Amino acid sequence: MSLLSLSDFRVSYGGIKAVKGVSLTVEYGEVIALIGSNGAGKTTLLKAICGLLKFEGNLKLDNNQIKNLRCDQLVKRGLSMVPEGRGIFGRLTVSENILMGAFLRKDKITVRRDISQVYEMFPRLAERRGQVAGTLSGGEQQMLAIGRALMGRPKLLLLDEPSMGLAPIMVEKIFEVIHQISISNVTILLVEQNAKLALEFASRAYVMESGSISLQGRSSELMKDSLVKQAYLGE
Amino acid sequence: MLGSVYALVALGYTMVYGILGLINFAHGEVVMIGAMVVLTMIGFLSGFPAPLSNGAILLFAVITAILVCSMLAFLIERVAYRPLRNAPRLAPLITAIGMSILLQNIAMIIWGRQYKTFPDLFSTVSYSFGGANITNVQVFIIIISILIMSALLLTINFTRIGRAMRATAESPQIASLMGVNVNYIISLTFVLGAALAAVAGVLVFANYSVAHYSMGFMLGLKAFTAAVLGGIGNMAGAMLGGILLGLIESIGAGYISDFTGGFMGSHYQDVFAFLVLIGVLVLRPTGIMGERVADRT
Repeated sequence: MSLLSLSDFRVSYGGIKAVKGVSLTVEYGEVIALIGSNGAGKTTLLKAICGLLKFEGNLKLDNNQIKNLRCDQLVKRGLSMVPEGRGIFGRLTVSENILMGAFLRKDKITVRRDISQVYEMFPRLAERRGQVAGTLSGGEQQMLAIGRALMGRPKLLLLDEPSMGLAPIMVEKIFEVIHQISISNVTILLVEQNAKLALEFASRAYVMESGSISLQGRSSELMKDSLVKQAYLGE
Repeated sequence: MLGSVYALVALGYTMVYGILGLINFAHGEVVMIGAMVVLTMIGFLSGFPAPLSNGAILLFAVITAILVCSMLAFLIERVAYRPLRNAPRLAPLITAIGMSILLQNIAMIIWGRQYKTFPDLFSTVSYSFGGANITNVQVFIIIISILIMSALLLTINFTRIGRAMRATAESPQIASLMGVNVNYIISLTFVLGAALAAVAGVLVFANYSVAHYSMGFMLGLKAFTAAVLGGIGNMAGAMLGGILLGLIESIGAGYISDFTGGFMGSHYQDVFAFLVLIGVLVLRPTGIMGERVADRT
């Protein structure tokens, strides 16, 4: 039994088919990478998984067939996404952003404990908790987006391009944190253009190409694959 | 006085605009219906076998008006705007104007074409200080408006649901990723705006003592002007804009005949609101407080 399984998963924008029959599974506790070039349909796939886009085909979350659920209903079932471009609320303060992540939770005491954990994980955010989030740097915004997503205590965390637009040192920091999250028993589906980073990080990976999965397997094996090397690792 | 009523109505415009980017032109009509419902309820309750005190009658009437207006706004959003949520912006705007005309006509059928007068539940007392005259009704209006606006501001800024409203205003998509039911928030926004509109309707009506099925149109336009003046989408701006517009109008109406040597009288009052609208749109389209917060993404 897997946490997430897709089969014959299709998404289209108007008449354009962006995702054409993808099958993919994520087991409990795994870190899975989804790599591929620009426009391969990775972000579209993630958006459809969390209910922001309509899809056809099968989606099973936690062994429940999901069909026509709104995004907020999926969040209730343990999904959390850090969207591409971070998607923080720029006019809300840092602490308000973090509270938004816990929007559905009623357990005030544990929420408070989780908030202090997020601040412990990202001391920079603690320093800026009263500041309007739009004034944070790109890296700080990414930290905030991740911290906010964790506040929902997700079973499955979807990360869309967490390295995008960040300085290398910041990327390293962010991935260090993602690693921490993964060993604390949160299952992660990571979408990345930076294939090298993603493959080093995930146990298994899928390669997406113009809307379908072209390759899949253990990261260590994919890293040795000549096609992957040529197309994504630049070797 | 007038300003605080404009502010209440402008808040309804600005809240809906902030979340949907839609100018709800039917909002003025909601104000009118609020006034009409109060009128009907007062008539109905006054004829009650067990006599009620005037205060109780007014209270019941206002509560009914708030409920009716809230339900009306809920329906307006469901029927007229939700199906067009993803349509080009012009479509819901036209629907809004259509809705406004529809509501006026419905009101005309129900309440007739004649001017309705407000029964005197309270005797009006006039105070004067520093050369200005103010009645007890006006003082009451100002106090009620301030109380309601403070309550609204506190809700929006310091509660969980208010936070969700602000988040939705910024990005409905991201808000839904946090588990916010965006449709619920949108309905709530319409309902809150309508509740304020109902109160505003009662207050206007109480001050002028007449109501007419077309009264919402001009009031709505002026409140919209107030919202634009303050910076549409900005709640504090709507309040400030409303109060400023009220002042500009009153002062303008008071002095216009002096300026024009008696050529134009105070019935040109309405001109000022629209002069302000044109002025703002030309000189500072974002309004007084409509500045964008620095956004580095």
